[in-house]
Amino acid sequence: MPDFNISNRIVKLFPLFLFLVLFGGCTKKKTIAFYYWKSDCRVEKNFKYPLYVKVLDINKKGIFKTACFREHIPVVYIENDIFKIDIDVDKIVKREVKSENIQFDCDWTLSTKERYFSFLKRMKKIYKRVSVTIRLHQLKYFSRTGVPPVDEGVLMLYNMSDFKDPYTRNYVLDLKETKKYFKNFKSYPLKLNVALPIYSTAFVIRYGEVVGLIDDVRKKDLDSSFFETLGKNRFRVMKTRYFKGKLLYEGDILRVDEVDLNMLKEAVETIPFTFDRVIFFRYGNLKNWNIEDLKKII
Amino acid sequence: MKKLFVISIFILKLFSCTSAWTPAYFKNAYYDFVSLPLFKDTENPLYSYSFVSPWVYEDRKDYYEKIKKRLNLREWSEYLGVDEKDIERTLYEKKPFDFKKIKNRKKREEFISYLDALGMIDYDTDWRKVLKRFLALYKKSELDFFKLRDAYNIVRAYHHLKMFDKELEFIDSLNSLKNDEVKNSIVWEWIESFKAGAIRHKGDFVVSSYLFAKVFATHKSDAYVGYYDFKVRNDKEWRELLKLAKNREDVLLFHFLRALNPKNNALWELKKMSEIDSDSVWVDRLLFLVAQKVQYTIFLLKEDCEDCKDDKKRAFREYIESFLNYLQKNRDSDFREYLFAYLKYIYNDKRVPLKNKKYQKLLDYLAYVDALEVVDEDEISKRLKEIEALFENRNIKVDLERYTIRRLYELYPKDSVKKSLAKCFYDREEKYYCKLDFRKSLDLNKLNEFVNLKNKRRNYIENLLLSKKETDLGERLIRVYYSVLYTAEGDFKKALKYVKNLPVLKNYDDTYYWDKKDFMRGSFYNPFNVDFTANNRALPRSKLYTHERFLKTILKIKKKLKQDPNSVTDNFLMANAWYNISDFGNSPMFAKIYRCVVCVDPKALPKLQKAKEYYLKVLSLTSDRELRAKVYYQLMKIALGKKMIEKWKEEKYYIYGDFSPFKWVKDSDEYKDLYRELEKYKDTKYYKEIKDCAGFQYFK
Repeated sequence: MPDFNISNRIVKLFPLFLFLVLFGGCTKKKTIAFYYWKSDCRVEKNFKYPLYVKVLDINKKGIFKTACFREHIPVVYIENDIFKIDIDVDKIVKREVKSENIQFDCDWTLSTKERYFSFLKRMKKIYKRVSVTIRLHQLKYFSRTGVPPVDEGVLMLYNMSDFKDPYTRNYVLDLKETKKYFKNFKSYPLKLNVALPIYSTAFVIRYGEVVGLIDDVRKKDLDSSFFETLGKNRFRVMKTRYFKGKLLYEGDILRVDEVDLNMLKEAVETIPFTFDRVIFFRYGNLKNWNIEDLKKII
Repeated sequence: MKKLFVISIFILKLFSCTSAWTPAYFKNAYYDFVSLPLFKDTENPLYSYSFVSPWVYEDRKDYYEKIKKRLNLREWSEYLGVDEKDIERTLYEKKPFDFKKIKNRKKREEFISYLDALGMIDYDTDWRKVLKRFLALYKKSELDFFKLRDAYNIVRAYHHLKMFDKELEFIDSLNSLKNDEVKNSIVWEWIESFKAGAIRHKGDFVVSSYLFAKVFATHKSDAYVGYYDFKVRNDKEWRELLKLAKNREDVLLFHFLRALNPKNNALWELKKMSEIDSDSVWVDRLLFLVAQKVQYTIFLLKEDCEDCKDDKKRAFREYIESFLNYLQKNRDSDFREYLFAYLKYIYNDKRVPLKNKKYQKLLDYLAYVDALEVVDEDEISKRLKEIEALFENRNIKVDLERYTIRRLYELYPKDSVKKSLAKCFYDREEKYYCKLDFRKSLDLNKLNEFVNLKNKRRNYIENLLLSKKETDLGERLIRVYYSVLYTAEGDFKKALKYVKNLPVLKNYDDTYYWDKKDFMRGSFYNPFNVDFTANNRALPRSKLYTHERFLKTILKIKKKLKQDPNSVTDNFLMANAWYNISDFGNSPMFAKIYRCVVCVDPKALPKLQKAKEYYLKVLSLTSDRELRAKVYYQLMKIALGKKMIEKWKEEKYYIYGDFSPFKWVKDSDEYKDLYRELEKYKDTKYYKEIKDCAGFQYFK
């Protein structure tokens, strides 16, 4: 017999309602954004994606201002050790950053956690929306490293291996390393978004040691008359010469660490939490990518 | 020995590299037998470990900051006619100055204005205001001494404000200031460095690098800036720079500066420089640095590379051998010959005879130490003193001592105090851990050995062993440690003898205690009480229970037990005390020199066993159900402690507040029996009290 009792129908439909309320957010469209880390403030006109622009670098040597693009999201880099010395970071940030949103990039440690977190609490009172960068180790061991008291975290999915080790597989993005950090992941008590790399780096290996790096080198940049291919991402320098501002010597080995679309896709698939934005690091490397391709990976 | 010997320390200006590209691991046991002081009694910390030290950037900067400060203070003091200390307090520490000390009124007035303006420069400086202020002062100033310093601050402000055209224009206008009064001031050096920087910012890398090279080669107070900012970005710039060279020395200087960049290949540059002029002082200077790197690589290969991959080892060998081959062909001075012989010896034990007797003796001594099999301290002391007498530089002596004592460390008997002292002596970098390890390693035998060593007539080696602050135990600390170790042994009488009337320390910082409780020699808990937690620290903190009071009380209980071995209360208190002075109780500091809070020390076992003996005695004596319940619960805690020790011996785990130990103990038969017994006392008040407590819940 059909059930015409309205209240009964509501009760029966309640699980569906609850499902929609709880998981309705999952269908929210994911967006992309970029980090802008240079100080030259040169950006393509009509660039339509959000930029997280480093506007302030506060370190022990002083304050470095690179304030530009006021319409985007300002990022303030704070050297961790700043929280060990007597510097009024609040005053500097308040004076230099006038914005509703703000992001802080600080690789805090147990010894600075308390001061950094209380600083963030004060920032929460000033800015409408505060986000912070989170390193993989801070995610995995959050019971010890603490959870920043902000609105949102951005998990940095790059620079995760030991760059000084000549045998590092890929310093920019190593999915095997990433998976180790995500193993046994249950939850993180803060809304998280993700930062993914689109940059590339060449590491210079000489006499068994990593002695330097050259930014923004891709395999396709290496001229075969100067570089002999040794393996998948390893090349030998055949003649002493300058290359992209760095002096390379005959016999040096170059390890080129870069990412491709497939790697980025796989990285996104391994992320064990829901997110609604991917921020690519960084705008300066966009010349090597097609934005539409990047949008497809999320 | 070539030109190297006639060059003064200020002209040398050897710099090294930025800290970012130094090896990740710098073994603290390494010695430096290729440093400049071996050949000339002079110190330039920038020579040492130039390519291998993680602290080289700070070292280099600190070194020149000190020189800069010294020269600056001298200029101020001579000009104002006041003591350097007074100037230092004001200029560097921002303390008030007694202006009456400046006799000349004009100088006094200008100094006041200068200080006032200088006060605007801080961590968070508004450089526009600074510029305005100093421009005004510069115009107003009548004394060239102040005018020059105002000018410097104007240059500085322009630089910070990125007004480089203005900065250069202003610097050019300063020529008229170069009169007799101020022409030799070091302030000109700073202005020249800023000029090179401004040219760099305007985009002329070649000219600015040339100027920075000159800063590096000629400045007394900020030469490191020259190294740091010498930059060439491409082949074209390098060719243009070479064209600017006035002579061959300039070319060698450029190569030298390139070599100092740790990202570059110093060995390649050295060979290139030798092709241009093998006798150049720049070649000798670079030889030192490369030799240090090679020395370090040899240590790395021999001592730290067991697990290195084969191609890494091959790469290290290739580097070392390439340098040795180069040296073999260029052994045309005592110092080069020595470098070759020394590195050859430490690389593959090959001895190469030397013409120079002093260096031959040094190599002979190193070989003698390496070959030691028996410890004859008198003979070793004699030979060490002889070799030390050949070198005036303290650092060489220190390295010789560390080299010797490191070998002795390997030869001293395993559990001897001398072995522990030797470890601390040569372990240069890890002072905290060495102090910690030394104290942790002490037992009654070692402490006796230490006291005997302190009180006897000592040889040179023994004096060295006792010379380190980290292993120095004063009279008070020796008494404290005796009292602790005797307490652990259960010899409370002797322990009391040492702790009685122990002088009270007034200053916490004077001590080597690990925490406040140790410093105060007491516990915040009653060591005779137990509660429902495993460590008996749930009860409110009491007034400090001193070690002396603990010993007096326990001696009284012992006396009572002697009179009446069946006293239930005294057996119970005795058991509690033994548990509490174990690592698992509330007052371990009475019987332990240092307790690691995240690890387990198997030495706690005898204390637990003592406690267990007394608890079992209580069980055999009493039928009081409340007390029996309490005792069974205490025995469960002991079982837990024993399980933790057992587990620690199997696999070293660290305790981070999780409850794994409770899980392990539940499987043991001892625990199961005890739990079963305790369950029989469900009706007791005690059981009802503890049954809901977290500590007990984990046991269940």
